[in-house]
Amino acid sequence: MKKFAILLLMVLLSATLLLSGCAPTTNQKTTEPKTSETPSFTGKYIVTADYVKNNLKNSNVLLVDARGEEAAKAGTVEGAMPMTWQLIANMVPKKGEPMWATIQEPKVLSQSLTNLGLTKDKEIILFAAGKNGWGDDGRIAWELISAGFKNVKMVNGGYDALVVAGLPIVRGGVAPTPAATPVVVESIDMTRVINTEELKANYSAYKILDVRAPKEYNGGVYYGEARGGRLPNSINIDFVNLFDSQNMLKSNEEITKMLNDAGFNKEDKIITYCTTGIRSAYFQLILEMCGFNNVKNYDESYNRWCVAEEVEK
Amino acid sequence: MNNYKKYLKIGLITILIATIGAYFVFPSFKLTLNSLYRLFSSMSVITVVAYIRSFGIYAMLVSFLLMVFQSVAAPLPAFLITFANAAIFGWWQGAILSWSSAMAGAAVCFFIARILGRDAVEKLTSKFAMSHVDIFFEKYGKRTILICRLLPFVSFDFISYAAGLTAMGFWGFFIATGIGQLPATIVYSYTGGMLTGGAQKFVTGLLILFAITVLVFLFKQIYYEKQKKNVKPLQN
Repeated sequence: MKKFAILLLMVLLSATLLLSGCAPTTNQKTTEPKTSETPSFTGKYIVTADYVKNNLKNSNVLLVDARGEEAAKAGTVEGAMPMTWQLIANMVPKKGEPMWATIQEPKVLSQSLTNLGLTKDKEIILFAAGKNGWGDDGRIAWELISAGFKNVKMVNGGYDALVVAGLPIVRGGVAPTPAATPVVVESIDMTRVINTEELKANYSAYKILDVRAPKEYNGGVYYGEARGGRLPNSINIDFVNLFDSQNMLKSNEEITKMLNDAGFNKEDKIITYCTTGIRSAYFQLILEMCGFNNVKNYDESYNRWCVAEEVEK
Repeated sequence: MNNYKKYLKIGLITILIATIGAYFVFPSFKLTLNSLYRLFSSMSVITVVAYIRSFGIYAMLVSFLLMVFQSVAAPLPAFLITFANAAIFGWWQGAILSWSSAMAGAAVCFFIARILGRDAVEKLTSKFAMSHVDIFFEKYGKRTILICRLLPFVSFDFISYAAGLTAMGFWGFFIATGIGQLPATIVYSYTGGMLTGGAQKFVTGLLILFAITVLVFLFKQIYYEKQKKNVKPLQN
């Protein structure tokens, strides 16, 4: 009798699970096929994986794997040069000190770019890992653009999109070929850049956009920051919200709406920041392509602010 | 016999130290291990598929070794390889590959723990008079493993290591692991991706149901055996 009761209970349980489980499964399938019809992100710094496929043989194109050498060792596009943003950042000060991990001085930057073979005449196409990374491609692009480079692109969908597009994949990228004639960066264009002093001097004029994860915004310390918290009056939109479930950039309209809903308008003076100014550099370029023309990335970002200034929790 | 065990232990410790040493001494080895770590931390099936495919005819072997590697180095997610295998080799071929390589990985973890840690555990159990713990695992270890394997949120690798420390026999562990990981492996291979929403709840629910079923029978058996013990003295 007992056995029978248990058996009955099990049958009932599995039946309810089956019923509750089946409906959403079918729903999921209908939502799956998309990609082609949905509007995709467009902008002057964005190219598709197919564009890369068609231009890979072009000798003027320099494909850069912004995920760096370690990631490239586990697979990258044939011919891509791996590098990290640190190679063109000022890593001399210690973390938390002024100007740590910011754009290098023009002289130093010129040398770094020469070593990497990143010349102004080339079309530099960067790719990284979308929302699974830190926007490393955006950070490098943002710095190159600020250094006066005119032909810098990022691949929508990053490495995975290039794989899906059928580009040849190899383990390990190619080493940089230093430029034959030295690259000369005369000055940094500060249109897209801001640092602590300038930000502090005119703080109330800006709307502050924190692009870190909510757990960071809410005070958690995950990446060795001196203390948890956020910039006063900042509003949080997580970097990963720029991407859809397929790890492609959301459309310009969708991103614009997301910003508007959070209280940012196109004519506002906006400051993006994150822990070190990487994700927020990516965010700055995306906003610029959406028509937000007064956006600056706070280069020193939270790592410096939390040491030098008051934070909100 | 004792000597043989000792050599085994020394051998294993040597391998572990050599691996750690090599990581710091040889930059290329360090780069390879770091790149594997990056591969998994990408959390992208496409990235893992591209990596395995890049080995051409050795793809299957590399996938197998990768699974064993991720078993030993616990924090890496195995399901990425399971999905990738299904995408590359087809769902049922992928399922066989994922299942068998996970079995090999579980066996490696089990033996590492057994060789390195069982002695210490034995000492502890005898010291604190916890022999009943050993007896429990000898008797019911198989079903305990089966329950753990069915539950998708219990760490696969942790259980393999933990089982190696108990008194249970290897074959019991191995068979229970094989049966227990079968449903999840098949489902993951067939769907070829992370289940979301209702489908995920459904599969998790089903697996929990299986686990509860086993648990109920386990309790029943323990209960009956206790009853028998209690009854005997009365009869005498």
